[in-house]
Amino acid sequence: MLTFTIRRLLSIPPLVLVVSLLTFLLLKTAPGDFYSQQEADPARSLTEVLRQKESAGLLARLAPKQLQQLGEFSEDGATWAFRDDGQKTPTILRDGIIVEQRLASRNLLNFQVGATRYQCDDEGVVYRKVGPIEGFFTWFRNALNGDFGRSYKFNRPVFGIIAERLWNTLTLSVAALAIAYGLGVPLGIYAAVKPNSPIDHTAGIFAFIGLSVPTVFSALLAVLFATYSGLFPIGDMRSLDYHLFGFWGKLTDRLHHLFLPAMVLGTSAMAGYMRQARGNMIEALGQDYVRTARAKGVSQHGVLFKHAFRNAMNPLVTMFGYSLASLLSGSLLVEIVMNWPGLGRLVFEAISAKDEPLVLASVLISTLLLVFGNLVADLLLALVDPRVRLS
Amino acid sequence: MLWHRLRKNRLAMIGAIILLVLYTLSCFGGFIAPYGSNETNKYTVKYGPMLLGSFTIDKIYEVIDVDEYDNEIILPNYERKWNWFDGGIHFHDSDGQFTLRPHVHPLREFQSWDEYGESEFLLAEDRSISIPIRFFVQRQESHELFSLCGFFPIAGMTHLMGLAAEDLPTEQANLHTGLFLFGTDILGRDLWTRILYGGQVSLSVGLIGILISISIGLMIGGIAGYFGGQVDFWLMRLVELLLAIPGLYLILTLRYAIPDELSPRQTYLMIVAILAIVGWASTGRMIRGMVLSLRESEYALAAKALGGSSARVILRHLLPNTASVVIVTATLYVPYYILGEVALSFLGFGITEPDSSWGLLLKDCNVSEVLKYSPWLITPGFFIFLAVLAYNFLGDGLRDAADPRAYLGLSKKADS
Repeated sequence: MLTFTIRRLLSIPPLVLVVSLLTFLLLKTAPGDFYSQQEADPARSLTEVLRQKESAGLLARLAPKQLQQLGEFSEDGATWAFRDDGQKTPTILRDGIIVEQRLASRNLLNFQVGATRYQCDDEGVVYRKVGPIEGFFTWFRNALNGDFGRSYKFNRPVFGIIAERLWNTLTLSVAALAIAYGLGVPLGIYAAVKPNSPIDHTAGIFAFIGLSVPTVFSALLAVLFATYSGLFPIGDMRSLDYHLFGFWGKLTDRLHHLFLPAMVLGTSAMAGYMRQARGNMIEALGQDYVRTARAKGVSQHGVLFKHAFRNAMNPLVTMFGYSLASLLSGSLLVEIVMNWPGLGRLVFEAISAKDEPLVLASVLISTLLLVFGNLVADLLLALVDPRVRLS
Repeated sequence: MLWHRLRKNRLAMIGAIILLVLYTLSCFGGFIAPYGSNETNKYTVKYGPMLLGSFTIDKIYEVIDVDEYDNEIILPNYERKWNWFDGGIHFHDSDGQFTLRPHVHPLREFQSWDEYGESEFLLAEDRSISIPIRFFVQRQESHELFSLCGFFPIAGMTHLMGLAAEDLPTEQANLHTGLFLFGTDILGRDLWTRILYGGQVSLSVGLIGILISISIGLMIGGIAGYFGGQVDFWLMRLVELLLAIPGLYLILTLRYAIPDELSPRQTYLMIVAILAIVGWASTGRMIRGMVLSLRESEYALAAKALGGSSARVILRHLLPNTASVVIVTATLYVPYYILGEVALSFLGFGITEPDSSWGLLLKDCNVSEVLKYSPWLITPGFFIFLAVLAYNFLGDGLRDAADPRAYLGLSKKADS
């Protein structure tokens, strides 16, 4: 089991590397970026926007000497060249005649020499666009030092933002899991004890319905319910006057806000546990050891909970790890509909705003959670069931 | 054998019938819908579902003050009331005589002021007039009548039902008419029409998506399982990579890389492609496992010994033996594709206006005011639920009907 764990742990770094490379390249192939709109906005200083892009690692400033080496190139129907006169910014020549930098920047906002793209601002400072592979290695080197970049939108290190949101998502997921297990497992066992009874059939139909209700739909229904009944708050994690409450007030307020989203997520996950618990329990009740227990006079209660239940629960214990990961993905839509400030909503907002460092870090974190969740699930299965051998 | 066992499963048959109805509805959507896919009417914005009831004006005025002669100062202020199963589609004509032909009342506009003092127009039934609903009615404009999930459209002017132009009252300016079985959306379009057209996208994305991803899964799973070794190793690492990123996050990131300005057809293909890329991994891994065990079976060894090429052994001998499992898995996975499209369109990254899809229709509900004052806009969600439920019923029945041992990959153990 130790070798299994070590091997699985060793497989994580390459996976993370490939996932981050893939995500990075995907994000870079997208047309435009966070700053495209600001660049096109005449009310904003181009110099300022390009400086921000430079500090975000999207552009690299070129010295006049390097620019001179570019030689002549044609853009907008004219021939351009840079000359290094020993000043901070180069002299710009258009068809061999010196032009003012402000005028030149209109034509040279976006130009290409060879395969590389350049941008020139009002003051004649020229930047080179950083290519995706080069950008990735810069990002990766920083990431190794613990710096995963700053969010463009929030202008904060991404991990601070993600940590907050991840905590919220985990709260929601754990509450949903508690509801799913708390309702699903007893129902499943009850259905298994009396198979083919009306209760079993009703529970089966409800399981189907629970499995089939799209989370968007149930979340919208929950919002509708909250709107019309007024029993539950709509959206967010706490009330506006949260800071005025005492400790118990704060706790109830949180739970009050948590209840509906957790119910929506929990009921959709519940059906799976119910069916699983029912199936396992029916299988366990058919085993020889149950018959032996019955034959030697163990009470119905004892048979159910001492013999059958413990064996039936093994796979369910391990599902915990898997479902935590799948709830992560499933909670995205619930978070958006019910305005829960979690990781899923963060990713959605980051993608809408083209906030690439934030998207990249969120995808990485969620991948790590999923991989670790699966690992924990496998290890748990081996722990609770000595028959399982990990190889 | 499979069909025989499937037919005994009542839930599976219910699922199959629901699916048949849904797909027929979407194929003949243009014909069944009373309106064109994008017929906006700015006068009929947010009117409730006529199938379920009607809006009537409840309160006519508000007394805001009393002057010195005890005269009331009156502000005309209307309040609308929803009547469950009253009005809407009804069975009497303008004179109150009972007929078998369903009728609708026209809608009258009442100018009112909301709590912020802004003028708003409330629509309510004018019960003095009844307009008959005509079947096989001719419309002035040509609309798409039949299409196979959005492809091969056939246009025409006959609709299954609707209001005939000659029946409509013309003299009054603030009187509007329409047949809105499920109400209208925020742009005044008939929701039932939008649902029918939306179904063409949402339902076909599932089918086409699963076809593509199962093909990829069969191909890659077959190759990996048959050849083993390095090929298998690297293909399985690819599968693990795809499975390691949470589904929706991967879908959204893939969507991010694609430009926003796409034609409707391109958007559709984009959605199918993204969902298939994300979805093939798990089927691929499953098929690989099965091929791995089938590879050692006697008939596969015999085929190889008789000089069959690798392609022939894979395609003719190994993959056909996975058929029952593949059909079951495909049926059980279609809902994920439908839900994937719904999620993408709901988030604004998939189908966009003026086209229609069930996810896009639900997007309007994401504004809490809209949801509060026009709760019928949630209806498309019910259709999504119905489609997913039907696929789950059918898939579960198929799984029971197919050999359960084969499904669990235990056939090899049973042989030895």
